[in-house]
Amino acid sequence: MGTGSWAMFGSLNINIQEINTYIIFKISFVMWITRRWGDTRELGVELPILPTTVIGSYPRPRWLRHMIRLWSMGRVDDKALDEAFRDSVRVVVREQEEAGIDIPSDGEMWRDEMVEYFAERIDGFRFYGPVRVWGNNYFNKPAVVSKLSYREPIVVKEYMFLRSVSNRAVVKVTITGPYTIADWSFNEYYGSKEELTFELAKIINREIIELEKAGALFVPVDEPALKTHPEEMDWAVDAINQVTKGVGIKLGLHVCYSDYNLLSRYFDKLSFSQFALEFANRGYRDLGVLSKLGDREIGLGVVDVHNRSIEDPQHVSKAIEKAMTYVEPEKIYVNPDCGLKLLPREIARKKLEVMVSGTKIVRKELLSKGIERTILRG
Amino acid sequence: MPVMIMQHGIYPRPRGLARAISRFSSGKMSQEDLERVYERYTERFFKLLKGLGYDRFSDGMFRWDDIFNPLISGIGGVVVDGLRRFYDNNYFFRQPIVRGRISYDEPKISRMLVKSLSIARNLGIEPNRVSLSLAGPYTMATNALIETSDYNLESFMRDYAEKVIYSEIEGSLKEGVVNIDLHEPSIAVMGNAKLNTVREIYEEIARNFPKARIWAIMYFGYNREGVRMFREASTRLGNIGYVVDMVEAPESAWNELGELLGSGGIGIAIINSRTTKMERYRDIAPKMFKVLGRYESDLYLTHNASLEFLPEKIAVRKLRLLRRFAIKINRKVQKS
Repeated sequence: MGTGSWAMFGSLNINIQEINTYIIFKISFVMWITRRWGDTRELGVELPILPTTVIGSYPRPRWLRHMIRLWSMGRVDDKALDEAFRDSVRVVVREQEEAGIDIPSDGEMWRDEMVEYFAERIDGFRFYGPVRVWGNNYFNKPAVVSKLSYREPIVVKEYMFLRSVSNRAVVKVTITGPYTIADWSFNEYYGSKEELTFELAKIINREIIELEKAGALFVPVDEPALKTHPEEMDWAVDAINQVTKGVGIKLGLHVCYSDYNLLSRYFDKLSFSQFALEFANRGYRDLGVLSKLGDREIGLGVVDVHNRSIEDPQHVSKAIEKAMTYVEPEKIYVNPDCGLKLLPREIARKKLEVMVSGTKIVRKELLSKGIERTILRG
Repeated sequence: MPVMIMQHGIYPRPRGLARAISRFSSGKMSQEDLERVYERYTERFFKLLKGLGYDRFSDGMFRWDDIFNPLISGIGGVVVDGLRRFYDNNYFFRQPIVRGRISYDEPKISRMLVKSLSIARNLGIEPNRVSLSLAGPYTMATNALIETSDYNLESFMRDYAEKVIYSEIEGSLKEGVVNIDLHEPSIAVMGNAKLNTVREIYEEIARNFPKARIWAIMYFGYNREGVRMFREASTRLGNIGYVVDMVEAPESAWNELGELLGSGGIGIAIINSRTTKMERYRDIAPKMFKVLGRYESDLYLTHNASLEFLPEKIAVRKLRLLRRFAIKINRKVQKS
């Protein structure tokens, strides 16, 4: 199935010229300035205060899953599946926009799994079969069996298509970080995990530069594995920073289900303007780490993606207010804890609606204080 | 005495079974049909292990989501909460939250094991080759979030052992299952602060159930003090055994290992359940021969953590590899 979606994506046809014109048109509406703000700088795009966004993945529509199954049985052709993928991106982007999300993603419709998808597109990996991640959920854990090399742009086409279908000023496609790819792979080739991670960092850096060339303004890097091996943090942070070399756009870092106290010791050393962290799942137990953010932003996880019960807007607004005791509102983005793909689609959508409703409660309070907008910072 | 081979813990849940569970969860499959799928895969697992000549093994633990679930859903006073990372793995479990004094009405896991035992018996496998697997007291306590003032870490460990583990051992012994595998990665990776309490609890379990063989399965690391502690307990009480993770151990640990063998049985984990890279006999054999002359009790070769961290295809290859290693080692010992 994974290979299938990749093969199909290869045939995705996008009118690049049309998209570039669209991007230029969008950007012409904003004042394009670069102003330093601590270690970060303003990229000129205005956003509503407390911008709402997603981490990346969104549930695939049932009909897309059905099409993938039919395709894997040889009952529909590549063209039909390609059309289904593109239609599904249109639908999930629209759902996010209707829910009030300010910075939508393409829901990672083309991706079966965040590491698997990248490993399929980097030379040097092979797959032996699925392994369980939790409960009844699996992923095709790759194995590094030879020297890794960058084959071709990995998610640039995804970005271009997303850009063409969203009416928001900023959109994002996520990148899986080098440390997580290394940590979630079997290493049969490199002498050490460190060596493997630095090799991957070069590849991911090249991909982010390609995304920047394609017009991306905000690229979140997913590193859920970071901090799982505290003794590796020093070199892991160096490796992750390698992906930011020569990049001028906004880069976020998503880390979840782990020790944030340890992570917070590295906030200053990580070259990212935003940290998107999961808090709802842990009952906001570690919010105190936000006091160590310095001039960085927080992507505040306010809905639990592994629990089907729907939070209420007050739950979300209280969480944001609590976060605001540590961080200025201009530095808070609001998002789910993690990707939404494991939830039923209806629940995912409702969670986003609740998230936006809760955010609006706080926005109203901020408006009364004259705080209405924030600026995209890189 | 020849070295034996042991499989323990959760075997990779086959995709066919995972699909059946999903279908059942979404109401597309009946409980009876799902049971048949469980039986089919359990039978396939037992046939594999029996065919390879494994001396003892779990039932594959196909009904388990992780080493704590479904056990904790049957413990009163415990709430099953959000996902937590399982040590340093890309693998998550639902965390037990202890909200009050715990209670345990019935031995849920040994009753679940009964279904597997009937399949085993049909294949000519005696229950004493099948093990019951549970989270050990230290691992349960260190992975739970204790939110009640009724307990601290130590008192929770004791209560969990007395209420849950005792009940499950009683249930297992009635079915002829004597090998009780208590998974204890926390002993391998965490400090030594509570080791005395851990020793007392294990010795208490062993004394209370002299017919059972209580195994501490330690993995993800090597804790020299923990190994020594089990060696002493094993020497005092012959029905305590322990698995030592020699994959994660420093080279020097091989020199110590000969002194660390108790009389209750030891499992030496030489196969890494967290890599697809195949171990080589020539790397392992010289180390094993350092140890072999020094033991008098049961010695098992095994893998370190549960095999579920591997794709099933690789898990099968590693089980075969372990068997080949044991055959070669036994041949060499016989000749010498």
